[in-house]
Amino acid sequence: MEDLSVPSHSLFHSFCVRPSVKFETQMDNEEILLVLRAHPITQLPWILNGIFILILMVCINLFATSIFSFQQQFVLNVGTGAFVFAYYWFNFLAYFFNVGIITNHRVIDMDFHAVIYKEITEARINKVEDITAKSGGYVASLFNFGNVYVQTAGNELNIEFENIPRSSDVVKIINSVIP
Amino acid sequence: MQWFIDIFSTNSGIFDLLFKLFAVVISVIYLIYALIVLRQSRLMLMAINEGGGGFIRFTAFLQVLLAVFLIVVSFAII
Repeated sequence: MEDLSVPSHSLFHSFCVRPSVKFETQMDNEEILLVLRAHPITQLPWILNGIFILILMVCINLFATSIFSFQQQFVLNVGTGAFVFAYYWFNFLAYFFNVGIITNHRVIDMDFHAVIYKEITEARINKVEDITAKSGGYVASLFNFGNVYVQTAGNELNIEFENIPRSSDVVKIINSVIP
Repeated sequence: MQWFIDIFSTNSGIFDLLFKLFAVVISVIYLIYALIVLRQSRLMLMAINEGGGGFIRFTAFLQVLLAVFLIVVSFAII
């Protein structure tokens, strides 16, 4: 199991042990043990989509000279580049700021849906009843990522960490923190 | 005034006008989107503050500059 006393970052900051991070609702005596993000391989679709759009733009340029003037083509190319930039930036923000945080007091799931909707779900460590790790499929097995579900007692919302790396290790870490 | 009349006298003139209108409208929408994302990225950095905050603010601001450039280009060049 991971040594929780030594800070480390792996997999493009998707599995960070004791990172130098602060979050909004952090208490004074609260230490961050683990910060989790989706496995980088799950971000491949939007990366490839952007590349495809750029290739499409280059191909259209070959045929567009007969339809558009040079100035119009220039504006179209700049516009397409701006669109791809916006698409990449939007998806990067969604990847970077959708985090799961495990501290010595709480388990926190921070989600930004479509960048503009913020949802923070947290559970006290001593209220955690059940922790489940699910991992299925060839890609998930190959790259070792899955989902972790943290259930608490009563009617409180459950916490879900989706597509996180080393889901089994995360379960072990949460179990080790529970008093 | 003659220039304005000439635009509607040819098909290519109407096409150019519509293209310019489309480019300007899309650019303005893009600028609004970029400003929203700039504001949201600042709120996101307040929610979780990790290293790279400067890079994120800079890139969000760069997107706004790109949107302004797109508007200028749409007005001036076409």
